[in-house]
Amino acid sequence: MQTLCISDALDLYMILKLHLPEKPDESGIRYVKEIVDSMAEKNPQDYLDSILLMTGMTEDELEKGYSTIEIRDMFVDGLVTNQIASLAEFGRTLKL
Amino acid sequence: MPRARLRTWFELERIRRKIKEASERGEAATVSDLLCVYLSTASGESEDVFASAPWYETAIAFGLVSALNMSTVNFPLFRNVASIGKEVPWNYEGRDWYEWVHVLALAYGWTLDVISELEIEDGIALLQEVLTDEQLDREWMWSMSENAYEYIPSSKKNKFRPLPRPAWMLPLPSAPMSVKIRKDMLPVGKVIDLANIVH
Repeated sequence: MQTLCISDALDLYMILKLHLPEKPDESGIRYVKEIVDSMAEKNPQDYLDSILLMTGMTEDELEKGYSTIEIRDMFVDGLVTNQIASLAEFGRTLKL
Repeated sequence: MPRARLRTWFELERIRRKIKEASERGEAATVSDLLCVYLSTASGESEDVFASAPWYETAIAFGLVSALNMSTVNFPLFRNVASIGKEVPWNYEGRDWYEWVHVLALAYGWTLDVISELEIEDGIALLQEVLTDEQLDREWMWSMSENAYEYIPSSKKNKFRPLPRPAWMLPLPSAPMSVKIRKDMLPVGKVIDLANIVH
């Protein structure tokens, strides 16, 4: 998975904005868990939208080609590749 | 990358204001476009270079270029800037830059090119000096006018009404005085500071 360009990264920030914890923990595990929990509680569509944005795939390609666990792994991989904690910090600095 | 000169700095500040406004409206697409325009204006590189780079490279570049082109002096001219709500009928796109050029050209007889190539701090400092001179001249002329004096019937004397100054020329509010409180009047027991509690 490739790092997003600035335009897609800010779109990703806008999708995840509501779900991003204030500060990351050291391992990042709790950070990702809090994002996923928040999505499940507030807006599950954000989970799908963020994966589509990070992978560049269509909804159809994702559903037919990958299992739920593979999709979850892609989501986590996308967050790591795009340095989500730094992106959150940048988005907050811009006051987006 | 060299530091911007006055004309480019003026443009960069205009883009920064637009970024701030777009952020406040939550327009992520406009913000990302403007970030690339900002970097392109400062560096002379194509916007595509910044638009296609990994996001953190563009973000870091924006931080560094912004810091490089910040004024190193905290000019009073930018203090208490109140936005004028009503737009004048003779306004046009980019007029604020020509207002600056007009004031400096009138005062020093410089051409547009010379003013555009001034160092950022030189340009701002000289503009502030010209505006200060103009205000003090106006104040002196105002003090010569009979409109500057108001007749107070109760005292049968005239009272001088000074010409209002622009917000940036007003004195800064002084820091609150520290007052000593007698020990026997201080609160007793454990004091809980409620100042930072969010309601």
